[in-house]
Amino acid sequence: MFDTVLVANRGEIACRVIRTLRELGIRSVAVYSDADRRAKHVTDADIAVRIGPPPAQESYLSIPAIIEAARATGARAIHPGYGFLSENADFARACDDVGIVFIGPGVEALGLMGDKIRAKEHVAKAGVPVIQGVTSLGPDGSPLSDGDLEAAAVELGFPILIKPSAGGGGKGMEPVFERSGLSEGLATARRVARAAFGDDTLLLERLVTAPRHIEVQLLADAHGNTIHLVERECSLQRRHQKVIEEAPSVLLSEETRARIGEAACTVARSVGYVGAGTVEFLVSDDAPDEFFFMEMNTRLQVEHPVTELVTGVDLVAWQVRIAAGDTLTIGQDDIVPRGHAVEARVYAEDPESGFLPSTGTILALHEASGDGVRVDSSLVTGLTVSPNYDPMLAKVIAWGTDRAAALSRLDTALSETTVLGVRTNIEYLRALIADPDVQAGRLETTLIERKLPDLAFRHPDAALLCAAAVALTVPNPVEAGVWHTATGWRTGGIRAPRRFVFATNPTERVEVLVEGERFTVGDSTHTVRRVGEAVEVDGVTTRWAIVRDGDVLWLGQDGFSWPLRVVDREAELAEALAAIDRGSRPVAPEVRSPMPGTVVAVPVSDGDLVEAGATIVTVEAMKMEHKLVASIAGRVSLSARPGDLVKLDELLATIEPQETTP
Amino acid sequence: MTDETTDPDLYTTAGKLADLKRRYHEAVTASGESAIDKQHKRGKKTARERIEQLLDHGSFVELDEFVRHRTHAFGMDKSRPYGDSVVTGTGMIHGRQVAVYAQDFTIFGGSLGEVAGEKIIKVMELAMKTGVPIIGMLDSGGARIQEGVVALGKYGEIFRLNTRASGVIPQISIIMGPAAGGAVYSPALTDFVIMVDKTSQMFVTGPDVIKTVTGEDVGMEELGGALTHNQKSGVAHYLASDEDDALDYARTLLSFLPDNNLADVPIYESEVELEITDEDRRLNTLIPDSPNQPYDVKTVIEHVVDNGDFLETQPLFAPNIVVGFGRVEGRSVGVIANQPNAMAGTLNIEAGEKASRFVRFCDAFSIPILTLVDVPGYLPGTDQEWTGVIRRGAKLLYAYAEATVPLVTVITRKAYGGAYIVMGSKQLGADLNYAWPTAEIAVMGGQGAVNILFRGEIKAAEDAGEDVAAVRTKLANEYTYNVASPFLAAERGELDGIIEPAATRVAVIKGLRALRTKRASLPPKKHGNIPL
Repeated sequence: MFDTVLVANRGEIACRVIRTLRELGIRSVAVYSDADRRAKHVTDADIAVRIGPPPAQESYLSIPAIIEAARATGARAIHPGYGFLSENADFARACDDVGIVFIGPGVEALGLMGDKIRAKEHVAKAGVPVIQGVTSLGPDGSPLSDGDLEAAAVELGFPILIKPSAGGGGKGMEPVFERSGLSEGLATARRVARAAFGDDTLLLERLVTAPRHIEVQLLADAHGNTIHLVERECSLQRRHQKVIEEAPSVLLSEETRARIGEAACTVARSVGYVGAGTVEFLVSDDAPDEFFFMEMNTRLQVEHPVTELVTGVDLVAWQVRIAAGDTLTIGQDDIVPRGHAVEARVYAEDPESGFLPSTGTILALHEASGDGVRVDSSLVTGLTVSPNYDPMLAKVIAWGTDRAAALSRLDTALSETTVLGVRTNIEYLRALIADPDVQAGRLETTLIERKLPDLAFRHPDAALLCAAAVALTVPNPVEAGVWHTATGWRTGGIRAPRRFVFATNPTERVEVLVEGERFTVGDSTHTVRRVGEAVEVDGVTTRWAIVRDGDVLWLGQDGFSWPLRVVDREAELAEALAAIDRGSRPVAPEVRSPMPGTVVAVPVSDGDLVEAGATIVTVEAMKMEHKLVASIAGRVSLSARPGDLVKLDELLATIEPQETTP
Repeated sequence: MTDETTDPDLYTTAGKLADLKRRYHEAVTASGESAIDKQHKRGKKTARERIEQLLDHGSFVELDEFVRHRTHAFGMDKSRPYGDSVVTGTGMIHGRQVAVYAQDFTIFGGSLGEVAGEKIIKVMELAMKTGVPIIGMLDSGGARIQEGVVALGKYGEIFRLNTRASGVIPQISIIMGPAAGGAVYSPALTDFVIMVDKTSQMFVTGPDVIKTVTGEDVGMEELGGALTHNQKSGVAHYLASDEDDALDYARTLLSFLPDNNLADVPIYESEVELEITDEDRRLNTLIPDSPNQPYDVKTVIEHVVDNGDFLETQPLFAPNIVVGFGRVEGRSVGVIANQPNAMAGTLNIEAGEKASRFVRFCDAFSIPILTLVDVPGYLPGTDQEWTGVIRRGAKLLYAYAEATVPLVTVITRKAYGGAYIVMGSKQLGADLNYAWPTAEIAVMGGQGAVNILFRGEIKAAEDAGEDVAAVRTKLANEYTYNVASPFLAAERGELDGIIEPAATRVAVIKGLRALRTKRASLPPKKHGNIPL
């Protein structure tokens, strides 16, 4: 066994790997960039090594920096976690070159599975079902007759999708659900293809209706033992990003479970796979006994905890043991899934404004705990959520004897989770879990996109605003931790009337007048009392998590959180003066950064004349590029250059409107 | 609603009641819808809407709604609306009685004629008799031209009453429209003037007259708008972004003020921690090591007052001195503080006049005064000297020296020369004077002092080719340590104590508790002769 292992990652996965290393009695080495100096994985590890500046390219993705950190600390092996270098064959080779064990599969498996097309051909040869297709051109290039195509279609099996070979964007695609509709479908497809693309060459492909994403966890040692640890279902996705994952899948029968597991093992054996891996399949909701190979992930998955909870196997421990040359001591028969586990990913993002990543500092934190609840997290109070890395903050995982119990526990755990300082998707996760289709297990990969527009999000209401006003009326000090001041709230006696103005968003203001226990919020009047650490509004008592950061008051309740800006008279006056100022000057529209991030492109030059709508600056934030366009036509004066780190609302360019030439 | 087209039978009781109802309806709807719409389009509320919003809901009791003018000239007798151009009455604010009047621009342009003047005079007299604050909402074209001298006379009576009420009941004026000519002097005589941005103007002579007489071209807004009077002239105490803001400011302001000069300030429930808290300790790091670095004195103020609730008045005028109200243990205090963030906190004419008026207001209404001192001196310059910094700066001395309310002074940093004496010093009559260990109390700052005291040494260093700046800094530091040290003042009893910044809140609470029973009086006299 290794005495020291370096974890080449950050965030919750680094913390999670370090936890197992400690259990195994292995010294752990964390690496960190300058942005993570005070991160949890740095303090969790026995040793921590700085590897570079914040950009991942220069730190977590820098092979030389990580190899050097391993050598300097005497690490015998490197655990890459997921993401970053975890599936990088060059990195695995670089480890080999210096005699450090890369905890993952061999270079060959990495290379093969990294090439999606080659991987598909390879596993098809091994007899694992893939989504097959035929073209209407024969092997010699001559067009096949409709009869030949029909025969080929029968061989592929129904339903089937007919696609124009020359097409794209879904045009001319024709689903055919049974044989009787085939000839008509072919005719229609040919006609459309000829009209649209001038080429009626067609492609037939097996159609997976209502697709569900099911994946199988594997463990394989270097001594020829390969087992699967049943499947996970990750059908709840948004733009190919998994949101909620569970194990096992409600879709599969015991018989299919055994078959899909065996198929996954076949895939692994076919490439001589060693370590932990995952084989992803597509299964149609309409035909749950059939599955099609999609790809193999040659690393630990984000969602591995659900498998650990239902099987009781510590996957990271086995990764390390296998890498050290140990033999798998658990056999396939030992894997008996117990109960059901569901994981929800907590992201720093605002679901309501198109899932824009949110940044900030964690001001208050409470993570769920209790029976059947596991939280894999790297959150600590004071942590800065920066735009440099993935916005996933934590994973909340719940186990129950059955699926309903697991979901109910997960919902409770999410409602207990308080993260103040950044916007999170917790409220959205709870709404998803509560969805009747999700509750019933009727999942599929497009469910979220379908349901999202109808999800109702909570907004600052009278109860929230009253709680905020109560927090601010508590005697000094009014700063952080207002609930924890030495002096209590007493009723009786009249308190000085107070008026608060809260900005619930950049444009909306609400006024709260506090006169004793009478709180006037906008036009409505409420009777409000503070009851211990809770707030009673019109006879209903609820608890709030409240923290103040400068002029922003964060309130959280049941997974919902909201920042309120406290607009005091001084701020109001400053705004009034600014408005007077603006009125007296000609407009010079400004291009400001919508988020903290890095300027990646400036397609215009200083002094250029641009049209309204032209891209002026592109800012990359949270791995997303945001194109900032000119709101009016005019002459650009730039204040940002590519590579600049910019803050929220930082001025990047100004456009001076030009007199139109006659 | 009664049917207005049929006349009730006036010989029956029911008929008489119906007639009253009809007349009352006529009085409250005298403006007519089109005039009300016009008013709303200007971003202005009607007089009745303003009163309704200012007062606690449903508390308004109107006076004189059936008053009508008696003018016959120029066909005025054809239009004699009930109530004339002002609505007057009494009501409550935060459950406390007040008197109000609101000029009604929708009737004769709010112009002040004989009966409108009489209504205002009546409600002012009522306010004085009953000892309650009066709030005037001004929105008027001026004296009613059709009525001539009678209208002017009423202004005179109003000014006289304003003056008599001064120091007896709090008087607040909210300018919500034009106030031109002599009309501006009624608000000018009141204690606080609130102006609404964009819709209010005050001037003695308007743009047209100015243009004719001096040739100056100036717009109404620039001449006498809310921003002008808040920033430049110091006539106004608050720039309200809209009418709601103005009315709300008036309500909030009143919560700090007593009903009259014989009444206590409102005392509100509050809880205070008498130990030094972590929050208090933040003040220990507020003062920068370098005397050249500014800081925001409002941090100290908000720290000392209950809940950080500080209501600043005249925030835009002479920002080098901060004045306003807060509460300590639920009781109002007036706070006066030099602001190092603006003009290094120097005293100039504007700052002196702003602060002296505030001191006198607090003294008149028995509101204790907390003074925070960080003043490098008076602002030098011919402009200051020639516009009367001696005469006008003396007002602040006069105000402090005459004040008999509890006075607590805390020197946070610089207290130099005459400015030290002015800012609530012991010798002027302050009751409790504290200093932070960061205080420097001397005739002048170290740098200035060494230039005089060590002229020879500096010359010698210069001749010897030494680093003159370093020598000067060393000598200045020595001077500050040896001569300006607050401990020298404390040794002589000119300070009552030296406290760590973190202890300020507790010291102020305990100090004001101790001073609650203070009795002091001035020698009998008709009145003093403040250098106005």
